[in-house]
Amino acid sequence: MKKILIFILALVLAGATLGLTACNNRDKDTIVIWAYDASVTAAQEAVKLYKKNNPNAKFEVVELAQDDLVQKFRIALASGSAVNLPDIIYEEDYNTIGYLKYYNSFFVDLTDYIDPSTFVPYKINNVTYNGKIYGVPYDSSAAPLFYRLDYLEQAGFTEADMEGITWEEFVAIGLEVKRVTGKLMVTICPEGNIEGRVMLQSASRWYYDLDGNLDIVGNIGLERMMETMKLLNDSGIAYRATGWDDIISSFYNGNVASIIGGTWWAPIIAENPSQSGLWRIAKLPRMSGDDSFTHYSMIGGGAWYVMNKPNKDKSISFLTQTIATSLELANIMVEKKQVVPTLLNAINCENAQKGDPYFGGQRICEIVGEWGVLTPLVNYGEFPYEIAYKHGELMTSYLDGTKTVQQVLQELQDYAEAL
Amino acid sequence: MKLTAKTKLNLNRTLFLGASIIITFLFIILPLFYAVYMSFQGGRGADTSYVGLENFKRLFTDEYIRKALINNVLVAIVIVPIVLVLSVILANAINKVKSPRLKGIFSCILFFPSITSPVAYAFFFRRAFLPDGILNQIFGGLNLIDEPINLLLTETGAQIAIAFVCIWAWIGFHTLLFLSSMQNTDPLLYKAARVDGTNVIQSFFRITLPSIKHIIVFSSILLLGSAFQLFAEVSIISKGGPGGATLTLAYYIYRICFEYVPQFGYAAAIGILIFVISAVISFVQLKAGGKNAH
Repeated sequence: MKKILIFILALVLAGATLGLTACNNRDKDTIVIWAYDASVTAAQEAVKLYKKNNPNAKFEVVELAQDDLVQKFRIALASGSAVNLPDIIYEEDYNTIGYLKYYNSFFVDLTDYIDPSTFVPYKINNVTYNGKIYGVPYDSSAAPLFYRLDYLEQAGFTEADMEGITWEEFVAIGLEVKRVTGKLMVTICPEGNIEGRVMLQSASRWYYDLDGNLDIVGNIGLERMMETMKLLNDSGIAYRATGWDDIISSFYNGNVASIIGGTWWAPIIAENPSQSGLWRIAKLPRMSGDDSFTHYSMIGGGAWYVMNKPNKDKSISFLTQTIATSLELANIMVEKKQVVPTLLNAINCENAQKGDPYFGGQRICEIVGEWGVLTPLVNYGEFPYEIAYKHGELMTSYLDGTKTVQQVLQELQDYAEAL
Repeated sequence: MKLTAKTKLNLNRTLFLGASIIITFLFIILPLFYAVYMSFQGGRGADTSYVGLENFKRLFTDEYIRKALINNVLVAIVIVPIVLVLSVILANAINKVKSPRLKGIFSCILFFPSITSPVAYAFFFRRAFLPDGILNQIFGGLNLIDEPINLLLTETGAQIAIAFVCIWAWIGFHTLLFLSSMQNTDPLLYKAARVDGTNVIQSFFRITLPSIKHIIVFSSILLLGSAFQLFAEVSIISKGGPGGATLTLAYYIYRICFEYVPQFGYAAAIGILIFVISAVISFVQLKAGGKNAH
């Protein structure tokens, strides 16, 4: 009898434990926000601002690593139940169309709440699907060239020599920097297709045209991008990294003179105090070959989305009063995380006017904010990562000389068509 | 009502077996059935529908499945035998150590990787393999290399890196399995063999190996299972690259669920493939091992 009672008790305990893990003790009025990296700070600061006028509002900001956020979000979406979803989520622009096409009912249409004219055009483009706006654009992630002025000066170059150049001119500078200083000029990560994507958008091109149709074979932007990557690789001025940590090591240890990437690199670069004052930003070098090729691009920007849950009206109120409109918040984020906001008038905020001593007094947020307006619009399409990563693999074969540009593009086209 | 001793015993057996059956059903059997159901669903995200055997047909045409399967098979036919051989040799060496304290110390050191989180050691080795990592610093310090090598940049280098980490991670546990079996071998057998003029090597092949045959079968089943479920090391160290050189079936499942627009049905079909391969291998191993393998 005693054993039976103990067994029943054990079963009840086990069942209760399982049940408790499935639910949470969160207040149903609490707005749950999932975010990663600097967007966590943005959410926390936005909550503080919002609570000044709405002291009874409750929030829970959940910080996750980006990969973990994506996994958790996709599992929650796959469960088919909004219960497992947050009320607001910050996600990358590349994933937008995939989410909105296959999980549309979980996202709230924000068209009536967002004034698109107040944001930089390419960011509004990134959060629009079938003519409706689903996201609040956030960080610009415009892509400058970050470079070590001290290395360039040793080789006899100045800041003026880095402005408005082509990639061929960049290589010529890099060869001299390597000869004099022994440092490689730039880090590239072909497998991850990071620099490739930056160059591609700077060429006003993507793997899809603006209508969302595949645009690979015959895409002059793609052809030129690959040739530029090969130029960088074959010239001997590039360090080939194998991932994010490898990229960070390359500049943290002072082994390379420049990196290509979004403005979100700025706070990461600035984590090494020994290099303060040595870094500058310049416009991205331009590819040669067509007048549509520009100096402007972006990589990795994101936006805030409201999920179709009971708290959606409160979530909309929160976002529209803070992230979507607040210059005060934009000002805070410029200072705290060097986030370049995509509100058009935020470029003029006080902190954007201040010089950043780490970057030699350059007003990087203001500068990059101006470039954001000039960033070409592209359509990331339904399968941006499938195609970008496949292209990264093929790029490696191209750089190693085992495939031609045309072979790569045909193989990529065939792969993309089969998706 | 007073229960007889036999009834009480049967009741106890039923209750405790019942608990494990319920848990096994909820967390293993039911998900397996759901995975089978999912494997017949096509589409992406929430937009799924019944597609019959299309996902399984796709397994034969998907180049990434071919690459991943080849890599998993390479792990199975190259790394698994290496781990088995090294484990047996190490276990035999430790078994010969007379001091129980030293035996214990060696056992602890060898077992350390088994109790370390795969994520933790994968991160460590990833850093170690990079040009500014500890391996390059050691080799550079010993003047074995002129310039740092980025092992993960080439296909062969990345495969060697993954192989090294797998061997390091798996060898300890299996060494201890063999050691415990060797320690149960009757020492009189060895004495008798010495009297008959048998040397050390002959004793090893004629006494030690046959006495641990059942553990060899057991270990190889476990190792082959690990080979076809290889994920954490690949995910953190090489992400399946470069160029798919270290892609495994398990990592491909992760990629199509979480890096791409999700195709959970196709991922389930790949999971079924892994299950079938593991089941067939285990069956063949058990049959080949004979009655002692059980």
